[in-house]
Amino acid sequence: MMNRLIGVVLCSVSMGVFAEPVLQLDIDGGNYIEDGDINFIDVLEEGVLTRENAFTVQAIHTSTVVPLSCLY
Amino acid sequence: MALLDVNGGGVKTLNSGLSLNIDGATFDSDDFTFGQQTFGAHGVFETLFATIEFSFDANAKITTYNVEDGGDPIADASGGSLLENFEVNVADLNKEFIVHFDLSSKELNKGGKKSLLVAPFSHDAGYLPSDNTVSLVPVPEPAGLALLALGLLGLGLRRKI
Repeated sequence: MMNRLIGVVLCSVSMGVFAEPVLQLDIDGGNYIEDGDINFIDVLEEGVLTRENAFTVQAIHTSTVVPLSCLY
Repeated sequence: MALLDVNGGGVKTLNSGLSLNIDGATFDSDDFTFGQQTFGAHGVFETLFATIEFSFDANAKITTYNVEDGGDPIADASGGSLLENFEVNVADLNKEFIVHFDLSSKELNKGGKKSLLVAPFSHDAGYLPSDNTVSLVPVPEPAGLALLALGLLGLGLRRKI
């Protein structure tokens, strides 16, 4: 319980620090697989990453605070 | 836009040609330089990278959303976010490379102070031009490291008490 409370506090502090307009990148509207820091654009089909030659990189500027996941 | 090898490591030199297409423009070896990006330390650097400068169109508004929740951007004239699309084609890119994308602003006027705005590193993106599954080691994020430091500090204080 104490650990969870500490986690919530740290998370809140982090969100407070980063609670500002942010930049985000997306690929084909989320059609990718995330693995740590590297996001694969390819579609996962039965454990194999399928190659796609063409895709759209979407640069997004949020002028309002977005409720980002507490990843930090 | 940075080049990585299939293990997620930096690329210092090119043993073969390089070509990829963005919005109809071709980028080749001459467009990439080796080093560290200007927006701060990021685990994927040092490596070969190229920069594309652009300005958001104030009319290209979308509904604000968190890219990590998935879904498509939704055009919305009263939306809280701006969208810029880059059409990328890697058909001619050597399969030994991963293309990694980061986003940063040149400067942001924040409360009268100029500062740099960078996409959180969990929100960058990469492309693996290969049919192989590759296991990459996640790169620690600066904020994550800060939290780790806080935790270690707390642990140290607890031991002292």
